[in-house]
Amino acid sequence: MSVATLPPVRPISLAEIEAARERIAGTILRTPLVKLELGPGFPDIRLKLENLQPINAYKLRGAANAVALLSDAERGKGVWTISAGNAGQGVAYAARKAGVPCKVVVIETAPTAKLERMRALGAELVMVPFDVAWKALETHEFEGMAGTLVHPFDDHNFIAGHGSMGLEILEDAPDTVAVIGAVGGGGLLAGVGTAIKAMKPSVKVYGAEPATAAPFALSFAAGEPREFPAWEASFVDGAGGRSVIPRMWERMKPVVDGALVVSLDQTRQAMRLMAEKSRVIAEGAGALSVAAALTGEAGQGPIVAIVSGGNLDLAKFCELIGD
Amino acid sequence: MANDTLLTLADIQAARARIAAYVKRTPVLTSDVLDAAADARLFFKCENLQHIGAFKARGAANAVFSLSDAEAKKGVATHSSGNHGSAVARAAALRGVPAYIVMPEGVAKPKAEQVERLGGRITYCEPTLAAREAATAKIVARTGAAMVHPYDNRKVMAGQGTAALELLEDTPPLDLVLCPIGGGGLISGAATAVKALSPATRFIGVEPAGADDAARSFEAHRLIPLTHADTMADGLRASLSPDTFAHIAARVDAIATVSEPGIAAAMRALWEGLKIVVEPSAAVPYAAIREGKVEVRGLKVGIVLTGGNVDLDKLPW
Repeated sequence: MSVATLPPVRPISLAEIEAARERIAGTILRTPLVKLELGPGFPDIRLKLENLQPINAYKLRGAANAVALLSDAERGKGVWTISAGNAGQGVAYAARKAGVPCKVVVIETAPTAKLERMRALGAELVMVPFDVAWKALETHEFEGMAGTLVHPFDDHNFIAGHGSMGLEILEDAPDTVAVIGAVGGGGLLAGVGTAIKAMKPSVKVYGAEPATAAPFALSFAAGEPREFPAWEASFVDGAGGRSVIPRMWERMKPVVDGALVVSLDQTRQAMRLMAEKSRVIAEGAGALSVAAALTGEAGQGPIVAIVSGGNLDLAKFCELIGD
Repeated sequence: MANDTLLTLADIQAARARIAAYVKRTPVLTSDVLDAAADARLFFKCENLQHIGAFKARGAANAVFSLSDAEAKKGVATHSSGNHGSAVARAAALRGVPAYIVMPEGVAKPKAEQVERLGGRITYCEPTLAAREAATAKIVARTGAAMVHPYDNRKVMAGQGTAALELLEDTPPLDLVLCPIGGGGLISGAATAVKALSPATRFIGVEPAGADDAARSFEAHRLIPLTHADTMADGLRASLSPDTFAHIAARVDAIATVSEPGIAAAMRALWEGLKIVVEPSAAVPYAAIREGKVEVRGLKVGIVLTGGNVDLDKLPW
């Protein structure tokens, strides 16, 4: 299959998201929504703690939905995905729980801890250079892979699974006026945004990125998908792509109200604040939403900041939150 | 003390109804990584995600909201170097009455600041138990405030036990429950709940070897007070009361002790495995698993993670 022959992007319905929620209930954690206690003078921020999912990232929602929707014939042939980290763990976890074989095309520079965890979850790993993995992401194919691809963001059922988070947010905080989530591939924001806009269109949905990797903000300003020319690697490795893929732009555009950009330093400070006030460990990508909420650009709230994951090396975490 | 004078399940259920509006139902977390390391299924009840970052919010709320209007009117008083002071200040603020908190000089600044932020009125005293008790008695005499002891108080014990009720509801039938022992308030309430609802579940208390009054008392069948505590687990340096010891003797199956390096390593493993911040005291039960002090292979184990208030600039690694 080439990009030209991929099925066209179609909107996700609220019914699909509600069905996904039922389907994945036994696999995922209905994560808590907790107030970030900052005292007077700060926006009202509530944290949606997806870092507490069994694989410590929201990706399990989409993975569990995609795996649950396989036919019996497809289950036998197994699933595969392309990932440097959280999506691979999500698909491997969901596949193991469903008794489905799983292969992951991984970038050979991925941290050993993440590779080991995917192996421990029963996944077979195929190591490739970054460019090869990126091409597979764009074309949705990789030689030698049989079975169903669960794409780590450009996948209808995967995104519908993430939408379940939006339903939980509005149940737990009906007074929410804004929701902020990190943008990497764009699956999180597409799914949550779709659910939120279907239930309560007045709620604003924002995407957050680090200043070193902010193609969504560029795209939003331009009104079309863009590359980010000055891209730099950072500890925020779970968000901030080199570009917005056109198919993902098509999914996000109708359900997102704005793009917020924060510095790496603001992100680091948000990580410390969450550890201190809420006793949780967020990875860089998971702290972008909180850093963005703290700027005040999304208003005084109630703002729900999605803490998308907590997968980073603990020594690195301690170094980042140190003074 | 005879069994019929101990706490009952009804006391804990009543506490739960009384405090429902004032405490969080905290999540139970699992980790395939920690399960694989222990060859067991571990269910962590995350009281570090409770209000004020510790289970103490439960017992203080139950005690403060059990007072009659006449009793509560003049406020409440306690002595604490940590989480209980914040918990009482918070409960008093919710009830709309003053809270007088006696804290030892040199107490960790964030803890004093949290008490102040919650509206507590702090009196500082010498850092000895005698000085703390004397200062609190003076305040009670002057103000008429009701004393809310950190653990030697049936309402506090019953309130802490509500964490175990939730744990049992959110897990498959458990083979074993582990919780840390400081003054014994939590374990008295939690063991009461577990033994009433699930008699086949074993209940083991864990404490630092450097503050092992419960282990020695359990062994000797009589209360042996703690004379000297030497542990980083600052929440577990208190000595059992006769009443909490009576509950432990009647309802706990065994006591295990763990080393200081074991506590630090367990704390680190919990941060890594669960992506949450827990304080040293909260890591003590998991340390018993890692050090092989408690056999868990093949079992379903509930573990109460008691709190997450730690100075991020002074981590034990």
